Amino acid sequence: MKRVSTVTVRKRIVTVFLFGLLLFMIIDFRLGYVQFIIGDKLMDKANESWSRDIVFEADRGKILDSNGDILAENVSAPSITVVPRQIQNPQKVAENLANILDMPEKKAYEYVTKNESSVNIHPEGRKLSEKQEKAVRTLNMDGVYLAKDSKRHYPYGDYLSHVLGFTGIDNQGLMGLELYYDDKLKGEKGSLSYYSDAKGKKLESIADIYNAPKDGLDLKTTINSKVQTIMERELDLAVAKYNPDGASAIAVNPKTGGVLGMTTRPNFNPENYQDVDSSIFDRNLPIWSTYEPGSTFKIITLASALEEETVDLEEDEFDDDGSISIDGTHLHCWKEGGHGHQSYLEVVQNSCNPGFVNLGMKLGKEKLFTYIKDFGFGKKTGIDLQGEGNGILFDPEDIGPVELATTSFGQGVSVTPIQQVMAVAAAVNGGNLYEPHIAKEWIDSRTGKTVDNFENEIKDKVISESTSKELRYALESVVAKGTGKPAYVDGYRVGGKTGTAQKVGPDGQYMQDNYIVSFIGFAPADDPEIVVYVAIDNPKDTLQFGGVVAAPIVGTIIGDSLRAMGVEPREDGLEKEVDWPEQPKVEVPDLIGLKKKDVTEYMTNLSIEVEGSGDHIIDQEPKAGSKVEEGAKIRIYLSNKKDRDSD
Amino acid sequence: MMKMMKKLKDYDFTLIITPILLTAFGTVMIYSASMVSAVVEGFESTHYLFKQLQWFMLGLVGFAFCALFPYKYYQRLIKPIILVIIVLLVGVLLFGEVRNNAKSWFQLGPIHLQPAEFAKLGLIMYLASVYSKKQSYIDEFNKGVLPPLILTGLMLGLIVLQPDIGTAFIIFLIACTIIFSSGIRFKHLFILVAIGLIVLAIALPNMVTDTRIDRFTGAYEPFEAPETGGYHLIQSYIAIGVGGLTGEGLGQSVQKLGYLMEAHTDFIMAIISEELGFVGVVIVIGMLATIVLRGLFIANKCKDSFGALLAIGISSMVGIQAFINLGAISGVLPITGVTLPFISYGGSSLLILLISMGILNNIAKSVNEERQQPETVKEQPGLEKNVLNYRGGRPWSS
Repeated sequence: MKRVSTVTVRKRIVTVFLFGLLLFMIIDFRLGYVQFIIGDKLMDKANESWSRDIVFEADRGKILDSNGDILAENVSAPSITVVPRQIQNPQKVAENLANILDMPEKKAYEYVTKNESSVNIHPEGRKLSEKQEKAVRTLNMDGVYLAKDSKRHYPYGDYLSHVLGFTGIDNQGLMGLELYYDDKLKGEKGSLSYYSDAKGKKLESIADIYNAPKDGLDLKTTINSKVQTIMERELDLAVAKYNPDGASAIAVNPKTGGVLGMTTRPNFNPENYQDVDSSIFDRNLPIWSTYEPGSTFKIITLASALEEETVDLEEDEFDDDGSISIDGTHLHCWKEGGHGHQSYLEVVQNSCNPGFVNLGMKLGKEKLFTYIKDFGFGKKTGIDLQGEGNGILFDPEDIGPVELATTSFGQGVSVTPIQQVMAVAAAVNGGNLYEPHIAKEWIDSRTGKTVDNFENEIKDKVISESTSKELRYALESVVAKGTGKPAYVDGYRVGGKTGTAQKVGPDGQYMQDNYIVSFIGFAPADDPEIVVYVAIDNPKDTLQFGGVVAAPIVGTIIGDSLRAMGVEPREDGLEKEVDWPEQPKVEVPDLIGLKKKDVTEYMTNLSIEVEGSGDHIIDQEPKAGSKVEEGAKIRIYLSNKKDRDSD
Repeated sequence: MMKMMKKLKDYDFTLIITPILLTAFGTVMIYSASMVSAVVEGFESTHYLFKQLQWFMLGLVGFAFCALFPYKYYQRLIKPIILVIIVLLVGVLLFGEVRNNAKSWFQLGPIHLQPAEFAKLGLIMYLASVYSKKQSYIDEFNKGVLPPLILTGLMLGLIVLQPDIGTAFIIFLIACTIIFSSGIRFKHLFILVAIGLIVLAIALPNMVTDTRIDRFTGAYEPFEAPETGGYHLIQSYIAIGVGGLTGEGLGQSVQKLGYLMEAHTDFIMAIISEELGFVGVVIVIGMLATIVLRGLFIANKCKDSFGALLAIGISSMVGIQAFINLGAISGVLPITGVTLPFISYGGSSLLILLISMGILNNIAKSVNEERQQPETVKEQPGLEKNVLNYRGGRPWSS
């Protein structure tokens, strides 16, 4: 009988014993590994898995005008969320969504079949239009939900667009005030972070963290929506009339530096900013564009000369023969043949270039350029918008007599419209150079109470009150008696100055027949409430003079705005001189021998009256070469034959 | 009285205290792990605690009885025991209650019985009994090895039909351990393994279901399939990882709140790890290892081959279950639904384990008693020459 050896059995037991020991060690090591080596990673996973965040979106603050009129607000625009597991027929749902949201069906299918508990269709399904919302509601698809969301709405459409700016898909500010004040406008998202069990049920044992959303503050601006509306209207009219390359307008309260209105052409609707070329919404012309200001800059020269008492407007006189020679360079007056003998007040009224060169020479380069800098040129004004230009001044070392002379009448310096406006505001408000600003107050949207005020900041005292007063009188006379007459408004004592700025072309030379015509005006002259600047870039089919194009626009804006603002009309202003002859004349062209259809091109600055019938012009009245007022009647005689003698 | 004391002295105190401590600790952990899920399921928070406590009390009675009841009688009672178990296994297939897609339970009033748990111990007794009787001709395959395996196969088949693959697998491994320890020739062992593989090859295609595949892939790449197969393991990992060295504190587990399914049964060790940290884990594993290794130690000491194989079977039952359970929660093995001995919730299982511990204690007692009368045993003639090369050991009785 074979017997199994006890030794074998014991060896086997020891083997089992050792094997068991080994297994326990393996498990211990494994657990240790999970716990210590990958434990940190697991800890993160645990937190991720346990904590639930409910996000509470904060309402973005509104943007209001100075009277509380809403310029930007939020409107409900739901977004689509799909729950793939609830979708029975993903093919069909994808097809529907693709149609409604205007997206490829394949992409829609990917969204509705994603292996996630819920999927946001981003960006196609964000912020639906009313039409899309209705379509989604009507189809009532299983697993397709409309989540509450809001989008920015600008009740005035393209009004004030560059200043307001716009927001992106997540209601974040991207441009303009929306960007500049984004931090406070957007508020703070709230969240409820809590630990939950697997079913999403809240765990009471672990304290949850609730951060209430902080709604954005409402931004009250210095903008006066009535003034803005008037400006928008006037620029629209100007664009329709002159088809310019661009246009800008600014209105500022000279007593505070607060911007009452600001607009640019071309403009855009902030709600559809994606449809617009970025060069349009990027360029807020009133603060971005820099160009030679032309005659409006003479205000600065004049203010400096008055403050330095280098000129007496009534007593001092100047003879203008049409040009002035500086270092061998002839600088011409805009009026051929010159203005003749004038008092300095008349020099200002006439915007006489040689007269201002003389003023600049009297001041000297040091003083003139000190004043120019004091008035804020050559550096940003600090307005609360992005994208402001610096402007360019001559390098002090490069300033010779010619540079001094041209600067005196606004050539050779490059400035932004807002710089001019703030400088003129300082010149007429008693000498206080304000920092321009649009923000006025932060308002708690719930209580309606003001949380924070923006202070009006005076940067510098540039001239004295008496100089300012004198200047106001001189500029009022420009409108009453001089080149600014079209800006005259009965009862509101408008003062101002025309400007016709030459543009530098791509070749570095001045462009021909392509000017930025501008006018800067203020009123009432005894106590200015508003400063308005309008610039029209390259107006077509007109004489490119600031007095012709821009002055009437400024006049209308000032008149309507002051009435809208409730400013009392004045009675003691300067009377408008009705028979002032200094409208630039138009030379009558030679029309004889032309055909009838060719005449249309002359009809822009002359009115044509037709006598007789036929295709050929055989005579005209007045004769070719004679000078007439703009818009004067030219009579032409027509005939069927080419010349009158042949019949 | 002195006699009582003397008798008590023969018991192995390690094997009395460790299982009781472990069960008591397990009961506490069951309460911690189940108090929330019990409420979610519509019971009192103490629902599982009290049920387990009842089984604990019943188990202690069983423990005490079996510790006193001489183990050698099981060998005589083996036929009725096996008969009862086969009847139960067939009965559960016919009248059992379906739970978790398996017919594994009998409901007798408020008590749920799991016959497969009883089958474990029954089979251990059977195999220990059979192989100790056949010890003299264990090296003959047809006569010594094969016959008992037919009954083993029958029981396994009945359990697989429930289906309870986990328990069947454990029984299979226990049987392997007993057979291996019984002194079977390696040649025969290979034949058995070959047979096993063939059976597996036939059975496997029927057993492979998507769920099982998920569980396998889940065990090795849990983060690849977080929603399906990997879910439980990831949750288990998180629980273990969060625990760190000393844990979050008793009762502080978050994973038990619905993240980790079966927190009080299969995954209780993950909760222990989360609440008590690595320290708690090492203590529990240490106690389990103590029981298993102590059992094997006793088996080694036991001169009666039935007692020795019984001890091996019981120890391996605890060890194998512990290994499969801990392997599953730590990602070494696929998740098969095997509970952790003494700790996990489960009445039948706990009752059987405590009874087994009682039996083990009885074996230990007899080993100690024998050691105190060494002369009489040493005098047995005729066996010495077979074990000449063995240092002081004793041959198996034949």
